[in-house]
Amino acid sequence: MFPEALLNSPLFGIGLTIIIYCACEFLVHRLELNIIPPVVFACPAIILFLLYVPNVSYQQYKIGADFINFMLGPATIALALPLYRNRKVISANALSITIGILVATLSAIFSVYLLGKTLGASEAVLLSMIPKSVTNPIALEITKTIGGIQPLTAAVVISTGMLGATINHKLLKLLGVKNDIAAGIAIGASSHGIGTSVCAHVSAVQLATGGVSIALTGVATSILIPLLLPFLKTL
Amino acid sequence: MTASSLLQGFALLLFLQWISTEIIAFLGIPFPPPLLGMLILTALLCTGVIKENYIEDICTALIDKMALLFLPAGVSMILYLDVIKAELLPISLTVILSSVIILCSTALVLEMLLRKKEKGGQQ
Repeated sequence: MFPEALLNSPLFGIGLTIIIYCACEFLVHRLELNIIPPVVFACPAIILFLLYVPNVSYQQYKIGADFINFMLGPATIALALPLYRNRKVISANALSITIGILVATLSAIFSVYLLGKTLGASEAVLLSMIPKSVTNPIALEITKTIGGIQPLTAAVVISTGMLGATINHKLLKLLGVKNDIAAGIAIGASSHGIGTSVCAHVSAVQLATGGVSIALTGVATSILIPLLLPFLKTL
Repeated sequence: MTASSLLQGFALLLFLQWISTEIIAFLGIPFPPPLLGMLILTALLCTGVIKENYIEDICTALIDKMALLFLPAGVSMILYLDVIKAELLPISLTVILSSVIILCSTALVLEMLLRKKEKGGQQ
């Protein structure tokens, strides 16, 4: 169906990702599905494309996709802009934010471990899921240190992000949370960059505190998991 | 937004990523370089070493379409579809329930703390 030369060039992975994302974005606007971010449709669409279109492979997709994945680095650094623009709000509420980050980190570690164990997840899956709410690169580092399966962690981290991007704002509205700092910290802590990316279209303070939250929960989680794991295993 | 303002900003972001990578490698700690880069850029902006308009265009563009950049990582789950299928129920329930727990507990605690603080400030 596609010439071999195209499939083996970066054009395939980059093109497929951008075209499917744009198509999903167009459809979401057209069908007025604005409550669901386009990425939630685009990810399974690409997976289905790779699984069911004959003669294309994930390895070929990865050649180009790696370029897009690389751009996540500069994009994460770019979060410094909302952070800088809202520095006054953040430093004025530093103590509350710190307490919020601790609540988030501890509830993340305990809820994932206890839920996973109760629901019968195997040890390897359990360890791979613990860092699921932190940003992907930190989650992968943590998984490596505690002996989980890295690609499985990536899958769970991304699913968590996409779920968060879809439900976060609806849940917060339901809870009656109106404070943008509270919303931003909670969103960054529960669904990292994917959840936070939705805040770009909602509020600048949410986006900034979301960025702070991603960094701080990442640090707190990578320190706390190795310390808490021996204790968790006795539960 | 001009092409050259995007380009100069992008060059700075790449430079910061390189510097952060070198620092992390030197310190030998397991921490993602881009997050360190974010902190360094914030510090540079706060101290006025870098002016906001120098990186404004590229940062705005990258943040606006950040969700797209996560797609390759999401698609990589294709490699573990069999493991995910085998433990689909515990995995999906854990992901859903714990996400709700983390979001709600954090948001409610912060909402309460910040409201108390606001009231305290007014008195």
